[in-house]
Amino acid sequence: MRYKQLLTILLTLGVLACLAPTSYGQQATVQGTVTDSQGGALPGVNILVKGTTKGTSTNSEGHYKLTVNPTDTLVFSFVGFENKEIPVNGRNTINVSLKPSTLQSQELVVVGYGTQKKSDLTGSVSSISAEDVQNIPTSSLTDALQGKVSGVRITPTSGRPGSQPQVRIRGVGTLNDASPLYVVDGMLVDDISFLNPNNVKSVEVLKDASATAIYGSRGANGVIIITTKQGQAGKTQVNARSYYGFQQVNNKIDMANAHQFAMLANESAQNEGRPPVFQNPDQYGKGTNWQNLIMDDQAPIQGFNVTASGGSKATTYSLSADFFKQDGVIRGSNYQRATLRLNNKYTLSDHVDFGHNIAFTYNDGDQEANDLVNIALRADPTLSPRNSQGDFTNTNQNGGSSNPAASIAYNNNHHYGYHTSGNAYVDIDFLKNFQFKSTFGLDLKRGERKIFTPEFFVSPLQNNQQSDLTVTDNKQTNWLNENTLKYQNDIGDHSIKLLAGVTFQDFVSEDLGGSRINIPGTDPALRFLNAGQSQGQTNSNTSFSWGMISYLFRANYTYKDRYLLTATFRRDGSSRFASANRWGNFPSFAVGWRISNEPFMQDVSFVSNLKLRGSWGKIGNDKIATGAAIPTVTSNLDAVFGQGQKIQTGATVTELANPDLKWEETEQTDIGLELGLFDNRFTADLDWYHKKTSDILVRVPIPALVGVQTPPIVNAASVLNRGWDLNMKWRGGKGDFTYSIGLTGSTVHNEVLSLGRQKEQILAGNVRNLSFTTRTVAGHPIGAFYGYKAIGVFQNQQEINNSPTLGNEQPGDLRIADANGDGKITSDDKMFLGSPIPDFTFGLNLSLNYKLFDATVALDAQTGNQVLNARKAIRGFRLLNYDASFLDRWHGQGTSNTEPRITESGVNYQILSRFLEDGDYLRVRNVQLGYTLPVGVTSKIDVQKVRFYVNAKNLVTLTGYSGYTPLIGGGSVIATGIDNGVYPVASSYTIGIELGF
Amino acid sequence: MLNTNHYFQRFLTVLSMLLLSGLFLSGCQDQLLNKKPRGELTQASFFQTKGQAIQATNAAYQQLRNFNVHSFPWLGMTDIASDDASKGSTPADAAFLSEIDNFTFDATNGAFMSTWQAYYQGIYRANIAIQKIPDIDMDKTLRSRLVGENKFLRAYYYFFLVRAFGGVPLVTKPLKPNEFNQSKATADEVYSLIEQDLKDAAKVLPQKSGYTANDIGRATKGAAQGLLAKVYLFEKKYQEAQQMAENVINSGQYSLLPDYKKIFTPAGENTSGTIFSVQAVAVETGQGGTPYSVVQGVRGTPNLGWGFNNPTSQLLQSYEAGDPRMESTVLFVNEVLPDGSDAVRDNPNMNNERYNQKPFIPQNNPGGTWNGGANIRRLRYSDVILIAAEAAYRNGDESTARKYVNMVRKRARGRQNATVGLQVEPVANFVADTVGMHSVSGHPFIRYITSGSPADNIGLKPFDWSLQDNNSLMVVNDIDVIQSVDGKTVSTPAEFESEMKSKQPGNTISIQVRRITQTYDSNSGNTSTNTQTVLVNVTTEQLLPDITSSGQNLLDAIWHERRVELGMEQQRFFDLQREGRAGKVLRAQGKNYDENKHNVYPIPQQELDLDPNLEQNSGY
Repeated sequence: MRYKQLLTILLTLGVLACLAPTSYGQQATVQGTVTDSQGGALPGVNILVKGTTKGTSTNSEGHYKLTVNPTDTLVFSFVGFENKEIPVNGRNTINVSLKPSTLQSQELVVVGYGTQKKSDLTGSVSSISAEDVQNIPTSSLTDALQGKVSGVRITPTSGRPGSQPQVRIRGVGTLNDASPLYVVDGMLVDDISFLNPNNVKSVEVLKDASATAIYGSRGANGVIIITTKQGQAGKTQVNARSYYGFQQVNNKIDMANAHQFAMLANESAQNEGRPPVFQNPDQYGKGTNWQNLIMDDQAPIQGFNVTASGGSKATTYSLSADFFKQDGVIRGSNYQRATLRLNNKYTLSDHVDFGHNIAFTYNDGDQEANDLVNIALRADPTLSPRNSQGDFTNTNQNGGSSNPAASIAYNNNHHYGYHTSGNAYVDIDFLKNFQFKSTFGLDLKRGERKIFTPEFFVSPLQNNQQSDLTVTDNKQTNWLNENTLKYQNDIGDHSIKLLAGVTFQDFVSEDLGGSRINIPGTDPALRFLNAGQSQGQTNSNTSFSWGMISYLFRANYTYKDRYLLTATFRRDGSSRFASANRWGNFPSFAVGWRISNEPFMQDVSFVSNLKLRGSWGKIGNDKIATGAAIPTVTSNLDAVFGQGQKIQTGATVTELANPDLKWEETEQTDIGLELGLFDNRFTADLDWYHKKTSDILVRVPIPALVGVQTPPIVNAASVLNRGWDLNMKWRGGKGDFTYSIGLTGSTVHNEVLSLGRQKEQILAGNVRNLSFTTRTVAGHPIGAFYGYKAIGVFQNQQEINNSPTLGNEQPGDLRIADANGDGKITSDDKMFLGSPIPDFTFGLNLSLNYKLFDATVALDAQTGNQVLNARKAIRGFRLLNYDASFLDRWHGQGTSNTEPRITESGVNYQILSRFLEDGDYLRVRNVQLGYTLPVGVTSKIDVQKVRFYVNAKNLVTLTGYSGYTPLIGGGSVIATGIDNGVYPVASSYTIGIELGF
Repeated sequence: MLNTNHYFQRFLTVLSMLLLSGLFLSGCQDQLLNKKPRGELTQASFFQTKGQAIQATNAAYQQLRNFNVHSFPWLGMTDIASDDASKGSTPADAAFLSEIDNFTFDATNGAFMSTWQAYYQGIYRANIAIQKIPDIDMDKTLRSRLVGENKFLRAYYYFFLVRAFGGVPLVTKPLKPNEFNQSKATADEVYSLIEQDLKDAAKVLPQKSGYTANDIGRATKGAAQGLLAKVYLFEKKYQEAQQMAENVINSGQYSLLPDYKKIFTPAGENTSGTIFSVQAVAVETGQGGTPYSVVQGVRGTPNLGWGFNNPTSQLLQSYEAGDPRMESTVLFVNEVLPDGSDAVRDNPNMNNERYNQKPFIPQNNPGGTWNGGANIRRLRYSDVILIAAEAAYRNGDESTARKYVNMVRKRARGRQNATVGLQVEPVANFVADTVGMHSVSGHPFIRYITSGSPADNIGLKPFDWSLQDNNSLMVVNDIDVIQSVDGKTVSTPAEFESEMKSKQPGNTISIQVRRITQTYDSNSGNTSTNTQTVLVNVTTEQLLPDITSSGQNLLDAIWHERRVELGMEQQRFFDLQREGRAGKVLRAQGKNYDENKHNVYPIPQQELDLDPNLEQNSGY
């Protein structure tokens, strides 16, 4: 019953919205031509009679004709141009020239708890509009943002469908979670995987303290505000988009073939004093290319979206349905997502608005077999997937890795989830100049994963004696209530905006999981725990929660549109800290000077905008585990006693907690210059920032003799990030041809200023024989690569005898640099070998329009970082296939001075520099070519707009890196840039259509 | 719907909303900001009840099953470092253990940090229990027993540290942040804490028979006294060592299990000769097992483990002719597994010839082989008897010394008196198939012959095999399958042993074997098999004769007895150091042992880096 009611209400809301009132009176015809500021005709411009759903659009010559009342007002709107309202006033001809909407003075920018004219901004905020992110074939909004915002580095963590990239704004200012805060229509969330890029109206990236301080303890890593599309009063607009295409991996890794593998394996065996592995390597040809076997070169990807929006003065609505489906380029992985979004606004009176923005998402997918990429790259190429009997080959017979074909066949790893995220608000104007808004948001997430492994036997090293099923279920409940009061008044030359608010947020996450063995059969219908054997079942149920109360204040003051002042203050109370340190205060101040508005600039006509701004502020980061301040008891430390050897419960304290924990604090100074020339055809933003995070929460290593499992978290480090952010754009054109060139660039200097009490270091990134590969220590970047450096290959015994060595070197082994020159090679000779953080990131966005054709090209690049190709360094367990680079090995005096003799372990696997590669790249990230049908054609079929396009994503990557991609995200900030055999990022080729009704 | 245009009314609306918010605030401030850990006890709510005192004690025992306490790196520092075992596995696997095997390590070798850390974690758990339990309002006897158990465990953990690293920081309570930087205590100071803890424990702990069936396996008075006897032996306090060992011997709590072989089977766990074992059980959920077995298990088919810690040929040769203990200690390649389920088939790339049989667990171990259910025998009655023997010798009482060592040898002989110096095994199915004679499957064949023994002298041949054709083909070079003894047909090893039981030293017996030999032609890839019947007459000798020697020979005999009685039980390396002959013995095996530094391992480098008050051991 309740369900039906809800459905009725929803339907009614949608239908009501379509039935906006229209009035009729004395009719007349008005016509005219719409042009841009250069006089070029604008086809497809929407013309609407204000307050009605009546309207038309211009034809290919920019001409329109419409029946109106003489008292009507026409609203001209066109994407990329400012709306213009013109009263008819009884005229029959109205020619209109539209201004590009990029004119900064009018552009509204979403900031925390409100909007601001871009011209009034004192903080560093980058805006990205819908056009920049839609039609890119991806499930992830952040993926679509890559290369479009200066100061924001977006790195895929994996090419797996549905995966979310890692986002870093202005370097890495913490040793903990450095992800930004996301604010979706006012709801504060950490995960935006439920968003589909087509619903997004704008994305604002808040980078400096002036902009982020209003988010207080949660803004230190930057804030990304996402606003979804709302309906506009007027006739119902229906937009549909669809694309379809395929993906493949363009840059496969060059591995040894069967013959080369057999030869190298024998040479390695000889070098290590083992008997040869292969009797006659020459008998093998190319063998099996396992990499190709696990990859799908035609993995389909498709997206479909339909949005209906519109409304009346009383109600606006936007209803969107979206479906996305992607097969991974690695077999066995896929992802699909369906989203419904309803963004409605109800004007209850002149003074009261009520509205909601709600998204319902369902997603599911399969994950490929665990570690499949590595298994395939390591598998023995002399063997076939199946033997002559048709059974899976035992690929371990020469000691190689598991049989990838069998790994695919026996893998069942399925997940599905729901995510509902949204809020409802009421907005009340009361008194004069006062506005009250109260918002209640909910973010409800539920995800389940089932992993089933059947009973199988391929080899003694690849088998499963009893089938098993593991089910894990995660639930998250997150609510947020925000209440803000605004005051706004313009008194003569003084403009004042004040904001005060109080917010409450509560977050609970709970995991429930279980496993059983001996599932009778492989039928998916049996993949429920009850089908398994109850004896030996396991279960687990864990949870954490946090809560927060905040007070916020902001004042904006503008004098004569020239002098801008912003002051922000937020006070946060968080449950993550013990009561003594629970509350934190986060202030910021900013000033701006619109030089271009000064009287003395009025004659300098080519300067349309010139603004200098500066800000300082202090923001916090509380992204640490809940309960780090409260010492807990570790359970499941069970002992075994008794005649029948029974498990007896054990538990004790094994951790030291730190009740003195407090916030990490980031102080950031930003100085920015905004420039607009030639009617803002050229715009540029240049920012210098200096961001120092102190009291960083970190587990400073303590002596093991203390006896605790892990050192306690203490506030004990500080990190500096400083650099430049640059955004530039040039718009030009002539006649039917228009173009724009956008350029973003950022530099980061990252340095740990202090760590712990004295000479502490954090060693991380453990990679087999290399041991720890990163070292975080004062004076160097976070997680800098640290290890031995090779300086050539020993060509003969004499060279070894005359050089410092580790001890067991033989001719053909790498020569280690004696960094401290003491004539010995010891662990003191390890040195800093580079940073995973690029010095410079760069993006270039080109856009061209000629008549009905359009094209966009997006490039991005980075330089100055190192990537650890850890996959190549991980050997020695068994005989594994070799990267083709091993063919360049030393095999006799003079054969190589870079690539050592071939071995499976030993000194050559302990030298970090051997496996470090430059992470520089230049990537053609996206190319799109489009064609819009002429209005003359579309109007005949009663369609406003039809556009076809072809898109290529990740078309070309120029890089010296030998793995799949030098963009290696993932890992913690103290051990990143390590390629352990990452899921490759695919290139995709799609065709699409956009329809507007 | 709100339909007023009056500011005042709207103002009231907002005001009431603000008031509601205010109520909300006051109502939920506590709920939002005072979050308790969910599903976890906090330190403040623990150490309140008897149950929690037991749980905290159990947690201190639990660390005994830790990977680093009694498995991978520890096996390296105890057995692999010694002359009894080589690293095993593949040459490249776990290079840090090769460094220990060869004494080429430095202070950065991961084994030192892992064990150091794990043992100090055990000490922390014992310390916090020793600190907190006395304040709990509970049964007094149980309370002092629990404190005693924790003191026993603390002593146990320190006893490893002091032998491995020499003087180490003496941490006897949970440390505060300003106490994290500790200096080393001297070895003597560590030993005196160990002595005191064990004395305290011995006072309050019940004898083995004093525990209820549910608590079998907890530290006992006998365990505290036995361990203390060993501690005294390492301190060369021989009077105290003998006295303490004899306390255990005379307690009437222990006896030597007649069948040595049974000690290391599941049925042998917690039997009459067990003084202290790390208790482990394999349950599906995995929280009772140890990795001790999987680390040492066969690498190959059946895939029971990683194949580390392989008995050396020197260990094999150290067994006297026919010593049945070798069969319980060494698991040969191609040997039928102790549970009879399969036979060892080594991964051809390993080239390992044998494995440690004592930690063997069946392949169908619940929860997988990683979850080993075998108890780790840490103090056996025979160990204490041999401590008594050695201490008695040092105290000048050679007859008592001989009495004790001969007790151990008598048990080792079992019910046999005479031997010809060979070890038999049943023929594995696939070996029988290889030689094309399924009929010999299960029959006794000659697995090993002690060099110079009667069987060796008469020309009987131990099993010899090789791999051909790219390691894919097994060729049996020689196998002597025993058919009869003194004309009596024997078709199983048990029948052979039973025949031998009636023989006395000096008897001449006739043994008939079917000798199967294969030859492989590498050109054609063909194998040809020949069989012949061989009948030999051989004179038996005394099996493990009583020790009658004196002086240094007697001491050598006692040391030898420790080696073979406790073979592959992680005693040998520290024994060699205690006996003062580690350098001589290990260098003879080609190891780079240097008395000037290797008498203790280095303090882990990482710990030195973190604690400026620590000093490295000399020589490193």
